[in-house]
Amino acid sequence: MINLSLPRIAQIVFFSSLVIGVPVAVAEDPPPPDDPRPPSRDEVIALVERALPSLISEDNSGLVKSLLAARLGKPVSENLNVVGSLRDARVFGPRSRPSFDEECSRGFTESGDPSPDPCYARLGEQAGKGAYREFSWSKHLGHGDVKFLRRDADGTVEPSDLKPVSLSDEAAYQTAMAFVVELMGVPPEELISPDELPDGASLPVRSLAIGSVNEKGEKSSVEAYKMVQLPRALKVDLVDPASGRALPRVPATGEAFVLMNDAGVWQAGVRRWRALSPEQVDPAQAKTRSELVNEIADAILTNESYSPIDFLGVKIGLMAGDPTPTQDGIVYPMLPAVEISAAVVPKDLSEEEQNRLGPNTAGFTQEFPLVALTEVSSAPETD
Amino acid sequence: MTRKGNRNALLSAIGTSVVLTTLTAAVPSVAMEVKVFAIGDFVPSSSGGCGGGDRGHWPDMVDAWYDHMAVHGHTKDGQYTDGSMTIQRFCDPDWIGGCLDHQYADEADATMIATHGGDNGDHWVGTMRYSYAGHCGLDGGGNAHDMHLGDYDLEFLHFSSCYSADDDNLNPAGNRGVREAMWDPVDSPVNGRFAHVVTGNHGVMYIRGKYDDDYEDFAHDAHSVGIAYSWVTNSYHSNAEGCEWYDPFNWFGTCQDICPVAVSQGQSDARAFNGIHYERYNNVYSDPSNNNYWYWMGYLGCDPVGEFGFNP
Repeated sequence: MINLSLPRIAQIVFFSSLVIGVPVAVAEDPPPPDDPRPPSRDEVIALVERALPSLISEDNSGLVKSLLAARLGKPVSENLNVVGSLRDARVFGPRSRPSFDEECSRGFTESGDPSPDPCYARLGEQAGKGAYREFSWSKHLGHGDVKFLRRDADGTVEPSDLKPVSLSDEAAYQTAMAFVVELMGVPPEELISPDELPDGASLPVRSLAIGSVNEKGEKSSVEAYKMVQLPRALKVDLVDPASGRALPRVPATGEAFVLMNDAGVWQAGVRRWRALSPEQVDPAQAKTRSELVNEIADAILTNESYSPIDFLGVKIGLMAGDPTPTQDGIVYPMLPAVEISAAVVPKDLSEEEQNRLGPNTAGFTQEFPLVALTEVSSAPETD
Repeated sequence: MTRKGNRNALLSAIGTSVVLTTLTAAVPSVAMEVKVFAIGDFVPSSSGGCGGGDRGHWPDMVDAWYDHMAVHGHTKDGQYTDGSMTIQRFCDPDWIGGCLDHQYADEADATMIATHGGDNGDHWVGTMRYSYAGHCGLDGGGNAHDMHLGDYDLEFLHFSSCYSADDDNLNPAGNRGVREAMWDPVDSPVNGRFAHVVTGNHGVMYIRGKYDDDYEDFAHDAHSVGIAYSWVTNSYHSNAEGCEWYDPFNWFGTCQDICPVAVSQGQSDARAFNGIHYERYNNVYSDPSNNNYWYWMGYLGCDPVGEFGFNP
């Protein structure tokens, strides 16, 4: 009989565990906490009721009509002059000789549907270390995607060359508006002019910084770029009867951004700036407030049946339905909608509060059409 | 000009214009192996799991990145969704036996991890579906030793996860912050293998259908401009979430942002800078030989849910 002392057994266990892959000698985490009490349906309904304004009522046909009357500018497809944009010095330049993807001439998929893909024009080689510029646009511009990318050759900029951008937020905003309107086909009527902002409101401009810490532990950073984000914002006439608050503009599908510094624009994107048609929705099909509240509550509980919801965000606006091919291209039904963003985490948390919170954190956002959909208005795009 | 007229003019320009030289298709330089790990269906503790609220669309969102990497000629090398996701796929065998990062997260050139995340002291912690060796949370960076990637193969680590690059965790006292997940203090100094760039978020991020485009565009643009730039432009959303109904454009300050951050590292100031400024999926530099130098990129003041403004 083999007599094994405890230390010997421990050695065998230890080395065996290395061989067969059983973990050793690291403290375990505390057991996962008990599941939180999930939100009840009544609680979620109460949360949604509190978040929605009285503007959304049991008869929403008037609200739907007002949203469908939102002032649309000309679609990107009518505004964008690609050749002119490519020749502009801010993009490729007047004497540039770009190449085009061979896919550019294929406007339709093999099944005969309008291609959702973009066409790319390039100046330089995408791969490799050289300077490069790229301009792309939806082959069918009703999709509303346009993008510009630019880079230096490797090694052009050294860390010591990084300079703070001198553009003011106001100048950056004007530069961004000019770029997306003049070169990317965005209708100016669908952008918020700075003079529309109420007193105290700030422009959607941020500094993109690059920073480091040296060997002595000294921090340094350079605000190297300005980033401007431009939401698609359509003028409407909406006032909430209970609060008297007005909505002079509402968000619609589409967003743009421009990244720039004193050397010009480096990146710009127009995304999902769909060609919208307001004619495919019947206001008589408007959902009631209670129908909408129940639909939103069901969706929230589908996503979050685990933790209590901390707060909801709400946007009333216009989303896009499924695209419809037309003789001239492609068009999307314009669908009045409510967008709900749900968070299980408060807006601001101290570091200590974050540590206590643990990881169950991602928010989620979903759009809900304000009208019952018919075959004509079609299902909404995934939001 | 009518739409049709505009389109015809454009096709004519593409076919015959003086600006046209050649027709080319984008060709990748060197194909990389890419992997994606995503949880959308979290398992309650009462069912033997690690908890967490379901986010069913999350795997689809990051799949947009994975699919588009293949469009650029890279190799789809593993798509892991839900299933038996534990820390085993991400943890380093120098930490505990049975860790298999060299078969999963570190056995790729670019890896994306999508799961709930939190701030655990000086580092990120991600929720797994099930516990392994008593660990439900994957602790990465800071003073945690679970996750040391880059010593086997990985160059680019992407988090689709809240708090994965918090400002206070970039450079905490006493360690390399998020960079601790980008090397292995045991193996990297010996084999000279380090990850190059990590991307993540300051504070809370959101899941939604239209953010699929962010991930697809991130993959595309990171072949044309630096990976860091591509991440911070495509994943940034100002005033996007949490707005009161009367304030859709944040005129009254009720909205919150989504705040992407990128970090590079290198053996010299120049190498680290080149990583943050130039490195792309089709312009991959050799591994740094250590990680004493580093750079971050992010939006100052960017104010997400669950955190204060970005101020590293």
